[in-house]
Formats: sequence, C-alpha cells, structure tokens
Amino acid sequence: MRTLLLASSVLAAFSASAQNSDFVDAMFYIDESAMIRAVDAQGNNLTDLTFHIVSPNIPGQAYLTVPNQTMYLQYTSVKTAAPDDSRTISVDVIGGNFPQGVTASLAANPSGTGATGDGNEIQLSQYITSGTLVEGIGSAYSGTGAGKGIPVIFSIDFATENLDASTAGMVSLQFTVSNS
Amino acid sequence: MRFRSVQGNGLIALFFSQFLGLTYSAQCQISITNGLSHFHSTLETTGVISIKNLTEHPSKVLIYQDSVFGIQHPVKIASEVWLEPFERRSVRYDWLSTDSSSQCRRVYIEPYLDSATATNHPGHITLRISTRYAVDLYRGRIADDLEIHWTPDGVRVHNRGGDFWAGACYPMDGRIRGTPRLASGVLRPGDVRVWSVPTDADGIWLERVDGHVVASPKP
Repeated sequence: MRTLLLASSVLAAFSASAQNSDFVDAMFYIDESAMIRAVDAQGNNLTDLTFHIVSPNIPGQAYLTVPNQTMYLQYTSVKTAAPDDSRTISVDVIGGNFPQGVTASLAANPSGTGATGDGNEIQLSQYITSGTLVEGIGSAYSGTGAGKGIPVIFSIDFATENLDASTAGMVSLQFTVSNS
Repeated sequence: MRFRSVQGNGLIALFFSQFLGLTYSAQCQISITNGLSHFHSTLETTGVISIKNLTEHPSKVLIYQDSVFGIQHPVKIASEVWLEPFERRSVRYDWLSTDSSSQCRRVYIEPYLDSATATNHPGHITLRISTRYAVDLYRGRIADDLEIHWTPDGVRVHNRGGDFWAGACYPMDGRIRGTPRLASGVLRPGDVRVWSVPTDADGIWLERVDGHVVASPKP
C-alpha cells in the first residue's frame, strides 16, 4: 500500500508560480519496499555455497575443520505503520537434510544505513530446520557493492566420530523477509 | 549449447526455454512494493500484491499460501506469474465474499529457482540459497478486546475478542507515550503475547494502527 503524505501548507514555496490559486496541494507517494538478494563477497548473485569436509592426511587424525564462508544479504526496506514497521529475516531448510553429525552455524551482523535491526546466531542441523537471523529492520538499506549487506557467516561444525559420508549432499536454505 | 545431443521435442523445449529466459531464472530478483501486511474490512473482498521484477530478464514468480495462522479459508490468487524485465505487476487476490469471521493468510512469494542448475559432488555439502517474501493478508475488524495482565517480567496481552488488534506497544512515561517502542504486530483472535517492560516505565501504551489507544498503568 502506498503511503500518502498530504502537504497542504506549501503555499509559500509555490506562490510565485501559482498566482491564481490560494492553495496548492502537494501529493507525495512513497513506495513501501521490501527487497533482498544474496550475494558473495564480490557482490555477485549467490545461489550456492559448497563445503568440502576433507579427509585428513595422517592416519589417526581427526577431520580438519572447514573454512568459514560469508554470504551477504543486500536489502532495501522502507517500512510503514505497524505491524509492517519492522521486518524480520528468517531462514528455513526447505529441501534436503544436513549430513548426520554436521551442524551449520549462521551468524548475522546487522549492516547498512538506517534501522538495521538486531542480528542473531542460529544453528541448523538434521533436527533444527529454521531460525530467525535478523529482527527489527525498519527503513534501511545495505548498499550494493562488494562487501555490502548483512554478512552471514556460515561455519560448519562436526565431530569426526559423528560423520557419515553417505549422507552428504545438497541442502536448500530459504531466507524469508516477513513482519514476524 | 550442445545442439547435437538434443533432437526433436527436446530441441523445441530448449529453444523455448532460451527464448523465455529460463536460463536467467536462477538470478531472478523481485521486490514487494506495497507492503508485507495488508488489512481489509469485511466489506472488501479483493486486494493486490505489487511485485516488481528487478532484473532485465523475464522472470517467473511463484506464489503459494501457508497455514501458519491456523486453518482458514484460502484466498484465491494466481500460483505463478511471469514478469517482463523491470515490470511491476499487481497480482490480485480474492477473499471468499460471504465470510464474516476474521480471516488471515500468509502468502509466500519467491522467484523461480531452477534446481536443474544445481550440482553437487560426493563428499561435498552444497547449500542452495534462495529468498522469498511473506505477505500477511488480514480481513476483518480491528478492535480492542484486550485483557492485560501484569506479571513480574512484563505484561501479558490477550486478544480475547473475535477481531484483530494491530498496532504497537510503547512504555508509558508518566501519563504519556514513552519511547522506545517495545513491540508491534497483530494479535489474532485468541492470541497472547508477553512483552517485557522496562522497570522505569509507568505502564504500557497500546496504540492501534488507526490511532486508538489503550493505556494500562503499572499496578
């Protein structure tokens, strides 16, 4: 819904050119806006993040840790009246399963200009399939270039003794912008 | 493109998929330009969700409903729409006109993501990333039939009526509205929220979207 601002007291500003009328109404239309995209560190669109849990080189050694990866959520948000005055970004596992013994930690740090909200760290696994990453986004924007956006740091946690390689595969994560 | 391996109908399908821009769908981006919460009185039976294609490619957008608000009558809305480059489209939805009780639905809107482009290798975990928007649709009256109960941790607000309550909760500073806002949202019939209240607040100030206020001083 468009926000309508009616300003009827701008006569002074327009009086020089509006000599035949006593009042001038200025109508302002502001689009509400909710837009988001996932990008990599270079600011390119991102659809996949791949982690390789590599076997060790020395017999007896535990599997090595996997390097973290960072995704950026670039967004523009213009709020309106409650309840659409505060946006939330949540994440759901919508396809596939995390491999047995593997947990993904997602840590979001609010970033941008304006009411950027509060970030959370959540964990996803075979048993935990959703969480809220960012809450309280009002009117704000992230910027569009490299390194701009809400950084979401993905870290893969596991214990070697809990791994089962047969369960590796693809997991679909969906980030949802909503009011709650 | 490897045309040699594609023949007959496969070639036609490939041609149309290229022509219609299907190969670009994985990068489709959309936005919602008329808000993520829509309220309608029981006199209104239709509304629109405004969707914009942010890319220079035609894009397919998927629309589906969820029952996160409990069992409700669905609204009638298209399940998918095609958007031309940078096109803004108002997608109409219709409520069941004879419904008189409060209704609410959540509609998810997401750009189509072609799963066929996903690849995975043995021993790898691939996370496929996608985005979507949740648009909450409400139809009914907005009213105050709230039961407010103070607890040691804050305040418990119960919508015990058959209508929605929509607005924001502020602390009271003396007898006026204080800052910052404590919470906002919609209470559906029967909903209960527990909001923490700062110790120095003198009460809570519940302000509806239409400006109507209910205040409750601390006991």
